[in-house]
Amino acid sequence: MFASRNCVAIVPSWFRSPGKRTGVLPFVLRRLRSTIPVLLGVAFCVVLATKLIPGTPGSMKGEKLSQKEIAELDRKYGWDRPFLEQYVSYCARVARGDLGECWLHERPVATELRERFPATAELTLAAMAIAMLAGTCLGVLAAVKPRGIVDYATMTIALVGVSMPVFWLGILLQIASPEPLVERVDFRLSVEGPTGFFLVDSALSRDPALFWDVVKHLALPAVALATIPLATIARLTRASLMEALEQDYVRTARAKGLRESVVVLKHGLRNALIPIVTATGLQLAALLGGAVLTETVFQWPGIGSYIFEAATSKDLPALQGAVLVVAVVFTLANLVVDLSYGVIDPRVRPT
Amino acid sequence: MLLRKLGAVLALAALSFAAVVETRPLPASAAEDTTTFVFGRGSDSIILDPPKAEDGESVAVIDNVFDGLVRYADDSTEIEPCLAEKWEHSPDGKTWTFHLAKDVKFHDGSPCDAQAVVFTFERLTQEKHPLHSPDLVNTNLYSSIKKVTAKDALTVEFQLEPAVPPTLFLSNLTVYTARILCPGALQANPKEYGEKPIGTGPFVFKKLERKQKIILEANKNYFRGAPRLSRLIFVPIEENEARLKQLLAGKLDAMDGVSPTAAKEIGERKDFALLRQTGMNVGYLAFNCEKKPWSDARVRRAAALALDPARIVSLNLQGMGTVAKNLMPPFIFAWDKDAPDPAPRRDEAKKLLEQAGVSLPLKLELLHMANPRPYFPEPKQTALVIQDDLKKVGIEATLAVMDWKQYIPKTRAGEFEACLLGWTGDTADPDNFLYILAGKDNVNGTNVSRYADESVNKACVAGQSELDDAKRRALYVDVQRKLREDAPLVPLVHADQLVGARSRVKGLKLHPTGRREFRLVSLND
Repeated sequence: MFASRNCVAIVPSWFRSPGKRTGVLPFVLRRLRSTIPVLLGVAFCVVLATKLIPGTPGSMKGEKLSQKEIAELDRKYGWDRPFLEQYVSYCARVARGDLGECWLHERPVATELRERFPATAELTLAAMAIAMLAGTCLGVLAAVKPRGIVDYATMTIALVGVSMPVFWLGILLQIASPEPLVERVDFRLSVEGPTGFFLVDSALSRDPALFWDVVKHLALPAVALATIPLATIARLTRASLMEALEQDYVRTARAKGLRESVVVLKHGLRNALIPIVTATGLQLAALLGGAVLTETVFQWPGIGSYIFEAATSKDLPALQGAVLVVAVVFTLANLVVDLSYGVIDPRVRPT
Repeated sequence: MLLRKLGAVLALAALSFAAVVETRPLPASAAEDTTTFVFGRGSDSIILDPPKAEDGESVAVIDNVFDGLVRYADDSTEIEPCLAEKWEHSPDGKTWTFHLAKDVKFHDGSPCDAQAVVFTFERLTQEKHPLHSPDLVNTNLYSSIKKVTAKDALTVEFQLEPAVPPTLFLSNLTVYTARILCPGALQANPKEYGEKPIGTGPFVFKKLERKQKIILEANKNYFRGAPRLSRLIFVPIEENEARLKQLLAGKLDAMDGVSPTAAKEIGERKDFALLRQTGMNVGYLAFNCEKKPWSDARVRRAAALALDPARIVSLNLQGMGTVAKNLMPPFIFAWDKDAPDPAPRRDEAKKLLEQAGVSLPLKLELLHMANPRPYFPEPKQTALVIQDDLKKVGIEATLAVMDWKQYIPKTRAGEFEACLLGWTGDTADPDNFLYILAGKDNVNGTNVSRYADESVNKACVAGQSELDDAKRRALYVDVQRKLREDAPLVPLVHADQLVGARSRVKGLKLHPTGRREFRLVSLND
């Protein structure tokens, strides 16, 4: 179903249809505009969901507060106002770029998210890199000798990977690990740097021990998280490449006497890439969802664990802010995927 | 060819991953570091602005960054001087004068003088103060403070109305909510104070990385003597098991929140030590006095007489606790030492049930929390023990469970028949247990049993202003006796505070009140 000759069907129309409104910029703008209703919907669902959970922000906060103080707090947070009013005022504030202040720490949500974001970005990118590398390799191995031992072995691994819940795998990995590792770096060490990406910052600090410690801490959660997209990528690569390898141009390439590796990787894989890239982009959503679980298991201080904390402490502004950010990241990732078609396949590049 | 190449890539990747996970050199700095102390606990601090903090994990940090006017001694609940060198009060107990220690400075260099004390208490007690807010906790402890004035740079006068017993007033001043705040820093940026606290304490706040660590550094100029450590790091690790693993791997120097089972494991290992101390807490069984037949004191007492708290201590606390005779732990003023040892008297219980005219078997829904609490580390098991005990007198309890987040609002709204609950004291004063847990004024709040006895409430309120210690003691002893008779709450256990530490840790003592102070801690090698 992801055959390369069908790729045209999943390429956005702007690449193909001639006319005034072609070109990358108008497309990007149009896509960004269409995300607004999506974000409004996301915000609506989050406000609604938090309304449905029993308890109020005041009662969540104050085990030792009196009834009166709890009521005062609820009023302060606007909890006593009707649901729609809460929703509209929230959207109005977000439109002005104000995500509000979280109830638990009384700090701007935007600041908290900015602090947490690099951790999630680092974890997700590392997981994606592992998944793409390993997934493509496994897929190619399987496709080159279909129905061989390698094929069955890889596809079994992929099946296990896709079926095993990521938190469970995370716990197993932790048990298997000889050294208990949580968080991003050893407690006694600190990573300082401009990017917030500990891999980069620790490399910049030129302290090999520190860098090594960061790598160690990143390895397990990244592998656990990588299993989600890895399985899909492997299976997709196999199907897509197998189809590509049956094409005429592959036979031609072989007839020219090219080396098998060139045939498979340059002629076959390149043409098989479009559905893989699409799927990878879509997998990002699964990754962000998986990050909530992985981060909680490994105490990774990112957006995922932030969402978990916000949800359990009923910190509505924090929860809304975090979910909105995830929604935005997801939409942007899809946009990047769409744009990347042009790079991979010159035929769909706008002229 | 291609197969081999790709295979090689994969194998290499797998190997390097294995290498990353397999090797386990402790960072050289960690193995030899004898000046940095890493303390693991169950969750992160939420907010470090003292009167806004409500969670114990915030208080643990506040205890090391801030000082109060007075403090509890290192290993008892005796009051001793801190920022106030000495103090006196008028005979009617309404005017208190505190003389502050000289040359004490906040961590930002500004002087800790009478103005800072005035500022701290005005913010706490005056609703019109610009930095007051409804979420300041424990304000009821200071509601009698009507006026605070700076007599000179180092003398502060408090006007109280009504007068408060000296022991009660002073112990309220030891509470973390009354730590002296740095007016300059708080006024300059009130929002930031909760994440960048500035106090006078033995440790200077350095850095907070949410969900990762809080780093404090020694205050070399601390007026009561500089700490022996140079750095103190608080680390949150949520899972008890994971925290224990980190301790045993040498990544933590000590940890809080040791489960009774983990306590055994730590105690058996060499290179590790288990610290124990009776906790300032009580775990109890509450009956809803507004629901029939539990509105009848005889029925409640019958249930109380059926219980065997010693079994809960040995089975659920693994012996790491004491049976509760009263609603407050023994080291607290006016604890009723004449209370009988709680042991099941089931024949008496059956008789009481007969007198009350209830038909057996009597059905009861017993609510317990899903999450471990300091006083009930295994709430479900405790509920099962109670269920078993009650059955022996003909009360058939069914168990209901609820998540802790909803537990407090539910129980306070009276939506239960019987429930397990507990209290961790803020001060070592009977008022903080008896009035809070059984005073009629606190129905809909901390008095979940909805026990509305006028005489108990009156005695508790009188205790808040009785200046004579002997009379005050008598009031509270009477309240405890009355509570035993009426049994709205059946005290069950006082769980021990448990801390696991590496044996290189010296000078770490657990304070009865649960205060975690690290000034005297050092690390050997």
